[in-house]
Amino acid sequence: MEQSRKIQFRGPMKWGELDPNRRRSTHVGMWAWLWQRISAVAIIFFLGLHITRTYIPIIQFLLLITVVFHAVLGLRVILLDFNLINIRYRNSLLGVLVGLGALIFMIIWKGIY
Amino acid sequence: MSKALNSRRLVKIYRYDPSVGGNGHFDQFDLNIEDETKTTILDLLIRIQKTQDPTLAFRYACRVNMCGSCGMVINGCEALACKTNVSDLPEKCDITIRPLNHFPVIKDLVVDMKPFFQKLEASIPYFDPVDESMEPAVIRPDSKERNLIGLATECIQCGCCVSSCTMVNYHENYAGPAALNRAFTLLADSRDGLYDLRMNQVLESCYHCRTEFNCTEVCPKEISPTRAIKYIQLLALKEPRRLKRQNLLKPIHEEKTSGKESLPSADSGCNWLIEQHNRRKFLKQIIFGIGTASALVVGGVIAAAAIGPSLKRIPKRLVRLDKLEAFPVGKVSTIVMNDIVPNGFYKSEIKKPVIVVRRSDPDKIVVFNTSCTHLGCTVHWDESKKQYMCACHGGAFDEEGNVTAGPPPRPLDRYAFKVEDGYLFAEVV
Amino acid sequence: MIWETSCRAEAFEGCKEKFVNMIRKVKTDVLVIGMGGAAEMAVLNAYDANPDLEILIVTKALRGKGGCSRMVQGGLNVVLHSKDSHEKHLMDTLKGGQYINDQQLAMTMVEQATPTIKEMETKYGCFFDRNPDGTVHQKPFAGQSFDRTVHKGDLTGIEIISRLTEQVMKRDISVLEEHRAVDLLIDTTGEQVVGALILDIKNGEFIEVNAKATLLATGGGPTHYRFFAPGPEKSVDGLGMLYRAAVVMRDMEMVQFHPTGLIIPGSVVAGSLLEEGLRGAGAHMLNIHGERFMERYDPEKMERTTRDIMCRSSYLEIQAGRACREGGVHIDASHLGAEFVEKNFPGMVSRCRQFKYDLARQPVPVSPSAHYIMGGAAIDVNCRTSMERLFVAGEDAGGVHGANRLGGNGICDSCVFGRQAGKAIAHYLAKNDGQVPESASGMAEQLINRYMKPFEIADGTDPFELRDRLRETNWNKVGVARTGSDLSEAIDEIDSIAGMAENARIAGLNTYNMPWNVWIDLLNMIDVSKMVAGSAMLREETRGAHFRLDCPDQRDDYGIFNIFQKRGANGTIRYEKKSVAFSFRSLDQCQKYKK
Repeated sequence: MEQSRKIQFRGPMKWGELDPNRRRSTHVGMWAWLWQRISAVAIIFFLGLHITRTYIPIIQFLLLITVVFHAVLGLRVILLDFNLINIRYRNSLLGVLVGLGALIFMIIWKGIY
Repeated sequence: MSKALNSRRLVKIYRYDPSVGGNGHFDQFDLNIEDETKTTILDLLIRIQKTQDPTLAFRYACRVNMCGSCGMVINGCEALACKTNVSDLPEKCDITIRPLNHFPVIKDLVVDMKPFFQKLEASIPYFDPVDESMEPAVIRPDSKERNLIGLATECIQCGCCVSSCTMVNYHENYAGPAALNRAFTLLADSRDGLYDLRMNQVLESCYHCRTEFNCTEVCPKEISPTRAIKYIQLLALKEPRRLKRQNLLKPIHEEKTSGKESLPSADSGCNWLIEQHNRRKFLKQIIFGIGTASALVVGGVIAAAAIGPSLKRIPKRLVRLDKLEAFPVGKVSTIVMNDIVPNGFYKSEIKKPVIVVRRSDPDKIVVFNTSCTHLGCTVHWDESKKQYMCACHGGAFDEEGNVTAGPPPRPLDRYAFKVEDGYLFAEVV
Repeated sequence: MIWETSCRAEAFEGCKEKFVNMIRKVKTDVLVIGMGGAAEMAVLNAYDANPDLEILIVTKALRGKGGCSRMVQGGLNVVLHSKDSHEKHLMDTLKGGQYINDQQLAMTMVEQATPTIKEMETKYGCFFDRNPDGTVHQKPFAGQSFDRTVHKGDLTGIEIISRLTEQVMKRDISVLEEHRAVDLLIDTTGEQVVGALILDIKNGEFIEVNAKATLLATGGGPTHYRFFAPGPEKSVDGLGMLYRAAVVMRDMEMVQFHPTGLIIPGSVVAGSLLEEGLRGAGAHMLNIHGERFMERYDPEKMERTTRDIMCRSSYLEIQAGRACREGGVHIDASHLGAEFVEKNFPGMVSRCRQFKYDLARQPVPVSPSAHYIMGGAAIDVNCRTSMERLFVAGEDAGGVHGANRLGGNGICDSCVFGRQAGKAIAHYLAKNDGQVPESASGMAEQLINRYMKPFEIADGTDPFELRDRLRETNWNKVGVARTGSDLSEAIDEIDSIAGMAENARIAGLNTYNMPWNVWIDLLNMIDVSKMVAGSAMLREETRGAHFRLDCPDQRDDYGIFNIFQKRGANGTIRYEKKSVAFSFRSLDQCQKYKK
């Protein structure tokens, strides 16, 4: 007896797989998450450099900027986690926080130099 | 408006034939669209099926955004085909249509929603009354719980949120946005009696959320599963003691022995599952390897930063003190040493007194560091007592620098020195 | 549940190489076809009455996603308020149905609706909109003497079906998704329905399901018209299967049209409804000249007239050549004030906005849209039919609504009779416990051969084209306004389409083949069209949704009757007119009732 013709499902598509419009599916919140992880790695890297080469201004500059950036993104998660900000404003919140971070950064940098 | 009339669009549709297998490919269809504002993506698919390729497969039912059958990825964003009009997409751009992510593909744009319903089922999506009352509960529409739940119960289970989530793929235990949203609406519902069970079932899952809001962005019903997940996390904070972490996401019913097992989809579609399992295992090993390597690198950097400076050989500097004649023989003279230290990107000037003792024998020169060996106060020469005295804690040293009184643990430090061209130099480290 | 796979190669000689030649057999206690409101209520009630029952649901769509119950916007009529009464609800229903309802069924519906809705709230977790004081809110709906429609915003169906589907998950009930029943299976005596032949849409395999009791609750959905309100995947499957199984049917001429189906040229969304409340609020209906044409048809009530009169007025206006550019008439709510419209009809405004119609400020093209079939299998209050072991509930059953259905009584009918059927099935199986009956030998193979035929035809007709033709024929000749000569022409045309459908050709393989499913849909639509046209020929009067241009009056003196029909052995339909039994309220009481 001839076996029945097998049909085979394809494994699930991964996020972004075969997707020429992949960038479009990266929404604001995803960038926020992604950049926080990237800045974390950058902090470790710059921190190492900072300890070995203490007073090199470019390293100080990069370390400060990544720390501030990482911190405001963390602040975003806290605000959203504890429902302190209506999620309706999630996208503008990111803008406001990054702006705030830039301000803090400038104040600190001015304070040093 | 005129631009939207009689336009041509290139539609690229993902194709997969289950009797052929493989990875699938994109087919292109060229379509003339009479009025883009009146044409949904679903209309496009139906038109292609009628006029160009009858074998094209997609899924739809109600065509008015109520059933959630036609979820797909349209130009990179999850959406319902019946809710997306061609005019909603950028003008003149090609239209790319793909099946949803994270679900096995049956054919073309049709995915197997079984994983979705399994996760939903495991998060106890069903109501169980808290009491036996037969009368509808009296709950004011402006009550706290109803305001909180709002329209979150109107989920149509289209799977768009799961497809847009980048975390469901990495955490096997993650129930996904839709299931957690449903769990939230029941956890917040005072009529429901399965609070503890449901909380145990879903809580762990909630911590897999990375607050990306992808699900909220794509939801065709404008529900925010992210909000629901955050709410469950908050609930857990309020009543931590009620929760026992249990075996998570374990199906509530054992699958019926013969019936469900022999469903065709279960056996014919599992090859990719094994494949994926192996791939996942391999991926895990690779990720573990990369993790270990990067931990070593990072650890190395930190260790080097901490220990490095003390291991490094620092070149000795000669600091010029003064002409040799300036120090009278047989006397103890004090002079301020002007040391310029290169430090990072700038140079610091350190002014520090040193004591130079010149004996009658020309070779007998001693250069003392004026810092007391106890806590570093500056010592001075007391001519009458013939001793170096420290004002801070009463330490005293004799002419050779040995301790004669007080707390200092060791004799005064000496600098090595050099005489060159009639000048005295101290060797500073 | 026992699954077995048997090889029956001899049945597939024609296409042995190309297709699967296995047939799978399943035996179960209860087979439920469909997964809308009626089917789910039945399953839940049968399971709760006896959790040992093995229940198998087969649904054409994904679980809970098919069926018209999900698409309910308005709500569910039920007597909850102390000032309301079952008596009033019954009289409203009979008045709406122009007295030809089965009064026992109507009585059961209004009386059982109250406990049903309470169970849905307290047992199944539905949450309907509340009054400010926290009690269940009931809104007014057309044709009712009391505000009794329970609702959840304007998406009541989603709430009901989502909650019921979850309850099915909670219980140990097997669901086969994307499996469609193609025909009922009959035993050798020809008097028992012993299950159904099921097609697995995903891989194209057939499954022969034998059951001790079968519930047919696929929902109707008159999608065999040019404009239709139900989802396009509905295709009167249940009614078609009942017809082929020679079950006694009734009132098949009664097809309800909704007066305001949106027109979207070229789109499948065309026909989706704009709420009746718009007319109630005072929206105008205009023809191409901008005239309020209702002055010609019902100058007293104007646009606030009943659904059926509104439909036929629009239809006649269109036929008279005063249609708007899109082929319908305009509904204009702009004079009500944009703010008022946006606040009160947000769902409708956004549905229009998707297609760049501005309901609040501009006229929007609408047309009558096929909405509901009042007819169906003749059932008793326990949903039993003329065939043993077969139960029918929901839109597949007829008699509850008579000649016209009130808004809000549709989902009520489904939920109440689903519940009745569930209880009745559990009761029936407790009494008739025995072996799972076998279908007549060779029947499944014969059916499979028939359904596989279009794959073998090399050069045949296109099912999409045939479906469009059938839709046009029905729209023009068996639609809103009918005449005797049109109907007899229509019957001939339907027969010729049926002939061509036998010669249809399907390309590709049988895995998730959508044109193949369209063809199977078409076969059901053809059978139902035959029943509707034949039955409409025999009712030479105008009553409720049935409007005869050649006999425009309702003739209560001529005899109040129902038309029953049954397919005969040689394929011809046997009709029978039966006088209505006024078992609770006399004709006189009904006629005098004023709300």
